[in-house]
Formats: sequence, structure tokens, C-alpha cells
Amino acid sequence: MQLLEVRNLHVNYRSYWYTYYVLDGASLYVDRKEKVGLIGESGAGKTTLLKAVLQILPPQGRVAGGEVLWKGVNLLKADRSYLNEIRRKEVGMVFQDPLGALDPVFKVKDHMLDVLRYSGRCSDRRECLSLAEEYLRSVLLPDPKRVLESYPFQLSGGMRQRVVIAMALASARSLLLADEPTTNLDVTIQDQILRLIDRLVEERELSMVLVSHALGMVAKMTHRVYVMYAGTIVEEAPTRELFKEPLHPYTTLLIESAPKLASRRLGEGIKGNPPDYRCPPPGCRFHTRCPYAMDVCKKLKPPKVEVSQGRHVACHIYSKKLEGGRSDGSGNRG
Amino acid sequence: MRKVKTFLKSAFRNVFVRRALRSLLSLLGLSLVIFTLARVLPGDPIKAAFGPDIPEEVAQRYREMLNLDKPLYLQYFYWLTDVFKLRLGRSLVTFRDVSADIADFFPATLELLIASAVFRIIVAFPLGVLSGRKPGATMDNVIRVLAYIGICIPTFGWAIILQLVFAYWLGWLPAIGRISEEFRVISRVTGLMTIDTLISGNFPAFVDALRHLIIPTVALSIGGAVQEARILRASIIENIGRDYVLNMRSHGIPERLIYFKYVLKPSSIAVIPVMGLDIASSVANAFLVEAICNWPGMSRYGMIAMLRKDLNAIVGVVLVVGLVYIVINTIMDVVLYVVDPRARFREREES
Amino acid sequence: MRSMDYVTLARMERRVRIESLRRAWFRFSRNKPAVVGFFVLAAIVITALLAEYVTPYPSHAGLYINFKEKFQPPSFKHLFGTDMYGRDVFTRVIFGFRYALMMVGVVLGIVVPAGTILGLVAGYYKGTIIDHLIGGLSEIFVAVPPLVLALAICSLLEPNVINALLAITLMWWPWYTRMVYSMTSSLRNEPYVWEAKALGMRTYQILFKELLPNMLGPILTKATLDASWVIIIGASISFVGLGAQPPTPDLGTMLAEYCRYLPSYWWMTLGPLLGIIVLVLSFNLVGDGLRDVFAGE
Repeated sequence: MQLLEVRNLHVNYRSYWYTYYVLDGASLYVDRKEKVGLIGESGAGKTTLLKAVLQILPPQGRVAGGEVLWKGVNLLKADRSYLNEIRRKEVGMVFQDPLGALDPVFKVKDHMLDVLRYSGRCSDRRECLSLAEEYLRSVLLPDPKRVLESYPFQLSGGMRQRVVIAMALASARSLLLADEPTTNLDVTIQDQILRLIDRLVEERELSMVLVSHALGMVAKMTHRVYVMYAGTIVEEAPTRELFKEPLHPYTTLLIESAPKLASRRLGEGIKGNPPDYRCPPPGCRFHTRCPYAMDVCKKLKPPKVEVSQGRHVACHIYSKKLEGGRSDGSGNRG
Repeated sequence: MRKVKTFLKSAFRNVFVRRALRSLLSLLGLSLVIFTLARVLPGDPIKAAFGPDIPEEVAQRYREMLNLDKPLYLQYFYWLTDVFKLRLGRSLVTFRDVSADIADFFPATLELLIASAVFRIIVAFPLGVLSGRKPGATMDNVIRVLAYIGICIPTFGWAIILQLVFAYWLGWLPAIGRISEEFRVISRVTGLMTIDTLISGNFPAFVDALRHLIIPTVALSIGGAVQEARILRASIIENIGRDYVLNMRSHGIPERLIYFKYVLKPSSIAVIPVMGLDIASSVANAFLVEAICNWPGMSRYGMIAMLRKDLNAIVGVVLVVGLVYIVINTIMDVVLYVVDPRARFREREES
Repeated sequence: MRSMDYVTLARMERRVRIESLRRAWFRFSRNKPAVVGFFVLAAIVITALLAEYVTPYPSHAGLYINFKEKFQPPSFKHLFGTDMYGRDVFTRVIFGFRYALMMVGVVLGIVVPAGTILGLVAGYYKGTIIDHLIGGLSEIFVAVPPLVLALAICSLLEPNVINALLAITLMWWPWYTRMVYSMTSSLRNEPYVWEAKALGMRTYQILFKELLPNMLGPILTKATLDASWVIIIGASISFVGLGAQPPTPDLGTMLAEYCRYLPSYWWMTLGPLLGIIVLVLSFNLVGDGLRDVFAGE
């Protein structure tokens, strides 16, 4: 049984006038001590997926279908106290924007005390305070005492993110969800922070889901990678295989568009724009931008097909191939 | 304890002193303007106050008393020196020193202001929190309607309505005055009727004083209080979707704690300036409420002075009102300083 | 790129303006209470303008005495009943709208342009003497709550409508100046201002063509919301006795007169009170709607 399994998750955002159908049947899983990457362009729904796992969607977000299984228990149907136990002790999350992730009118000390108290790692105030200091030291913050007494706006971006990481570690005995932890940071420290996360995850033998645009780091740090586009997982593979030989058209374009040090030109980017989630395209959500789009892609959602050991692709090209080229393109698997 | 003291001291220094200086300067300018206007405008102030039939010698004596026969700058100078001696001239209505008059009547207005502040807090915060919790629910809509009603009925409108409904029709509360006849003999310690009755141990008198306080206070405060509730609500709704709320939730912090600690505190920051401003302008609205409810406060004294063209009293009251305004704004600044850490650093940046 | 002649350019500009007006109306109309307020306000304005022709007893608006009909409770003949002189309260309220609206028009008509200009100038020349002068002057008037100042000024003058207007105007302008001042001083370092200066635009052009249009939204919204405050303060001044004098049918004066007969003939106070409430409410709703319109920008 896997640690975390997300099955066919559908999530909508509801505003006053519109409904945004963001997640359209996304699935993934994470095993113990496994590090998994989640890549895709901005707006693909990666953050939504992570937030849905912990059930911390913003007020307008609704889960419209699917399951989130933690060690076999569906968190979406579990009662509040069970969910909170998971949140306090098992899973921790690192957020994209460290300034937004901390309440501006409370000191770091207040944040950390609350988190530690509920994580069950310490009992009285003094014990929690010294534990907080330890955590801050483990994320390489110099002078933790001063940081504890500071307000978020008094710290630099990098320091804030370290605080958020420390908080996440306090709540995580099993899994760390890292949502683009370095995207909002200075380029000069992105590397540092990612390496710090990697080391801490290894030290504590945690599982990890890493969402990042830094494809290079993802390639180095993860065992498996999921590629996400417009609310669905389009490809899943062990890391090295994915980067060596991407199968889904989107993955290929994504990897190609990343700027590489060796080549001369900057990445080209992918033609077109992500779909409008209010009325997403029928069939495969990528067909409007896919250079290999076929007729069937416009009508039918491509099923996830296991191409080889541990590799899945959701693309009609591969489902057709597997069927031995059935001309009606229905892609049924018998 | 020591930390609190040093903290308050720095708050005091940063906020109070700077503001006090600026405001005193404005007040000085204001006094000059009013003073000049009063002396410069057409019409003889004495005749305006006492009527055109006043015999000339009497009028002349009054003019000398008020220094009206001297040149303008001298008049101002005398007046200014008087102010520093805490004497605001002589009233044409009561013939007493204006400062004595004001000292007499001010506590009543002060009582109203304090009651108004308390009322606002008691009303705005719970209502705001309740409607922020479940936006769109019945409670929220009820409060929204109340807020609309609150804006468009002016203070004196509320006074009239409340008097009509609660005093005359239902007979639950007394309409006018501060305290009933039978309790008039309460000795005056602070001038605040509610406190004085409590001090003298006369419990029925205390209750009576409270009952008299209700209609004027509610009339004065309710319009603003519901508005403040709405502002709190808006702020809560804005903050409840913020990342830090999601972050704390992701750590399993119970909802209650999140709402009442991490959401409420930043949201109150939006309300505090508004509340301060509202309380400060209550000083002005008190004029009408005191008139309608026959509340013997400084504002009513000022209004009578204005109707009777009592020059010194008018200037005196305006100045004291300005002073109260400054004090209230300063208190609000200090509160903001305590609650919002960002405010502490903003001041330093500006200087 | 083909160069455009001025006629086409002007036509395009006009079309853009009409489009933005249409869009503004669309955004406004989404706020239903605001639309209601707008129509109510329009109705009131029309009624007030045509008061003589619309009201059942136009002569009751001024001096009129008919003791036989005094203190009549509300009926079909007299919607709000009659007052102590036998005058129809409803008619007087409609005429009272006239005074209220006139007050709004005059005060805002003077204060908004004047305050805005002063604020623009002060904000643009921030840090110079002009700034300190204007700033200091407005600080003085802001030191005291507006009502008190207005009352004080009124008390020094003859009690009548014109002086009340004067007093309100005098103490109202600083609020606009301050708002425009803060907006100007934050906007004046924007790139487009630098560009304009580099192009050699003259100061007043910069102020009015570049800076002002960006501020029209908040100014308009504030003006509308302020209208309701002007009415309340005006009514307060007359209520106290320092503004319009009886028998002028000003809403505040009427309220003061009728108040004296509480609680026995309480329906009389209902007239002017409802009048004030409706007027203030409409202005507030419209102002709310305007806020929605400009918030989207």
C-alpha cells in the first residue's frame, strides 16, 4: 500500500459568475521514502493538487470527485480530527510565496510555537521554544533567537522560506509537499534552498513531492516525475527515463523549451496559451496546442496507458499504438 | 513588565509627541482663524448677543470687558496669554469664566464618548466576526441591511427614533436628562455620573444613570458601529483566503484558533482607524444628540453659545473639541502601534 | 503604418469613449441596489425641480396658515399629515429636497474643483513652499471635526441658507485637497509623467491631461458619497437653528420645528426624517455603484 495515492481527482474553483474546472481527473501516488517530482507550466493545477491533498483549498475551491488516500484511508471522507492528525504530524507543506505564508502581525515565534505545540513534539512552552530554535538551526538560519523574535517583513525572502521549511518539517514525519519553494526567491539562493530541502528530506527519511520549474533540480532530486498539463497528469515516468526520452508531446516541448546552458538559443516556449478553465477544450486538453493532434484528440479524453514498467502516458498516440492502430481511435482497453 | 514599559515609552515618543506637535500647531492656526473671523465679521457682537436694544453704556462696558475696543493683534495676544493660563475668557451667557463652564460640562460629554467607544467595540466586533464567518448567510445579510440603514439615518434621526420608540411608546428608557430627580444629590467626584453613583455606593442610582445613558449613546454610535462591523467583515473575508491561513491550516491548527487569532488580528487593523475617526467625530455629533436628549454636556453648552453668539464660549468650545479630537486620534494611533507591528516601522521610515 | 488624419483619430477617440461609458454602465448595473438608488435619485431630482407643478399644495411651502387643518394625521389628502400651521408636510418635504439638492450642487460644485486643483498643485510641487502653505491651511481645517467647524462658522454669521452654504463649503474643501494631494504625490513619479515633462508639456497640461484622469474615479465616488454627508450636515445646521430659518421648508428646519411636538403628533417628524433618509440612501447606493465601476479599472 502506498503512502499517498490521489485517484482521479476533480477540483473546481467557483467564483461569483464562473466555475473554473481546474483538475480534471488527476492521479498520482507516493511511496515511503520516495521523492516525486511534479512539473508543468504555471496554472496547470499543480498547486491545486497539493492543496487538495491536505484539504487546504481556498474558500472558492471544491473537490468535485475522486479520492485522496492516505495509507488507504480516504481523506476526503475522513472526519475532521483524523485529517488534522495527518496535518499536524504526518504531512508538511512548503509554500511558494514565503511572505504570504506567514501572518504579518505575528512573530516567527508565535507561528512556530503553535505549529510545534500541535505537532506533538513538545509539551510546554520552554521546551517548544528551544525546539523551535533547533528547527531554525537545522534550516541553516544564523542567529535563530533573533529570527524567532522577528516579524516576517523584517526577514529576507530566503530567511522566510527557511522558516516555512522549518515549520513544514515540524509537521512532517512522513511526507513533505514542496510547492515551487524557490520560484519566488532570488536566483542566487534558489539552488541553496533546494539543496537544503533535499538534504533534510534525506536525513529524515521523508517522502517528497517537489513541484518546481527548475527542471534541472527536479531531474537530480527525484526518483519519479509526473508531468501535468491543464489539470491532468499527462505522463509519469522514472526521472531519468523521462528526461532522456519523453513520450508525451507536451513533455517533449516542455523539456526542449527549458533554456540549456550548452545550446545557443534561449528556450522557445510552447505555442499557444493554457486553456481557459471556464470552458476547457473537449477531449484531450492539450489538443489545441499539440503538433500531433488528431481527430480523436478533439473528442475523447486520452486514457492513461502503461507504456512500459512504471511509465504511463495519457495520449492518443500511445493508446492507438497499443491497440495496434484501431482506426476508430476509441482507445478502449478491452 | 519592564518590556511593556519600554515598549510603551517608545510608542509614546514616536506617536504621541510628533502628533501632538503637529496638531497643536494646527489648533493654533485654527484659533487664529476663528478668532479673526469672529472679530472681523460684520455686525456688532455685543448687539448680536444681547439684542439691538441694549443701552449704549452697558454695551460699551461689555466691549471693554471683552477687549473688543483694542486692535486685533492685541486682542489675540491677550487671549493667547489667557489660554496659557487656562482661562478662556468670560462667557456672555453665564458671566462665568468659560473654562469653568467647560470644566463643569465636559465630564458629561466625556461620559458619552467613553460609552460610545465601549458600545462600538461591543457591537462592531461580534457583528463583524459573525458575518465574516459565513458570508452570504442570513446573519450576514441582516447585518448588511442594518449597515445600510445605519448610514442613512443621521445621528439626530436615531435620537428621535429611539426616543419615540423606547421612551414614549414602550416606556422602557428615559428620554432625556442624565439622572432622575430623586437621585440628584449624588456628590460629584469624577463628573461621570455612572462612576460617581458607583463610588457613592448608591446602586439604584447607578442603574438609573445607566438607563439614562443608553439612548444618547446608542443614537450617537449605532450608525457608525454597524459600518465598522461591515469593514471588519470585509477585512476578514479578504484575509481568510490568504496563504498564511492555508499554511496554518496545513499544520493542523484548529479552525477556531486560526479564525480568532490569525485572521482576526490583521483584520482588526483595518477597523481601528475607522473606529478612531468615528469616535472623534462623535464629539461633533454629540452636539445634536445632547440637544435632543437634554444631556448637560459641553456640546450642548457650545450649541447654546452658538445660538446666543457667545464669542468666547464659541472659541473655547471649538478649541476644546479640537483638543479632544487630537487626544482621541492619538489614542487610536497608539492602539494601532500596539496591534500592528508594521505601523511601528512605518513611522521610523518616514522620519 | 499608415498615418491617420485627425478626423479619423477623433472619431476613434469618441468611439472609445462611448465604449468605456457603455462598459461603465454595465458594471454599474450589476450592482442592483445602486441602480435602484440611481433611479430614485433621478426621480427626486425631477420632482424637486418641478416641485411647483408636482406637489398637491405648492402654496404650503412658504408662509401659510390654516389652523383648521392643523395636526391632521396622515391620510390620502395629506400623505404625511399636516403640521401645526396646517401645511401639508409632504409638499414641504418635496420642496425641502430642492434645498437639499441645491446645497449639494453648490457645495460640491465649488469644493470639488477647488479642492482638486489645490490638491494637484500641492502634490505636484511637493516639498516646496506651495505644498507647505496649502498643506498647512488644510491641516488647520482638519484639526476639528467638520460639523463643529461648520457650526462655529455659522454661529458667527447671520443664520440663513447662504451662510450655511458658505460654512459648509469653507470646511469641506480640505478633504478633497488631501485626497488629491496624496494621489498626486504618489503618481507624480510615474514614468508617464517623466515622459510628459521630457516632451516639453507645460505643467498645467501635465496636471490636467495626465494626472487628473487617473484620479477621476475616486474623486467622483467620493463626491457622490460626500453628497449624502453634505445633506446630513446641512440638515444638522438647520436643525440647530443656524441655517435656514422657518418658514423655509428646509428638511433640518422642519425636523426641528416638528420635533417639539413629540410624542403626540409624531407623524410630522416622519416626513422630513424619511426625506433625509431616502435622499441619503440614494446617494450612498449610487456612490457604492460608482465605486464598483471604478474598482474594476
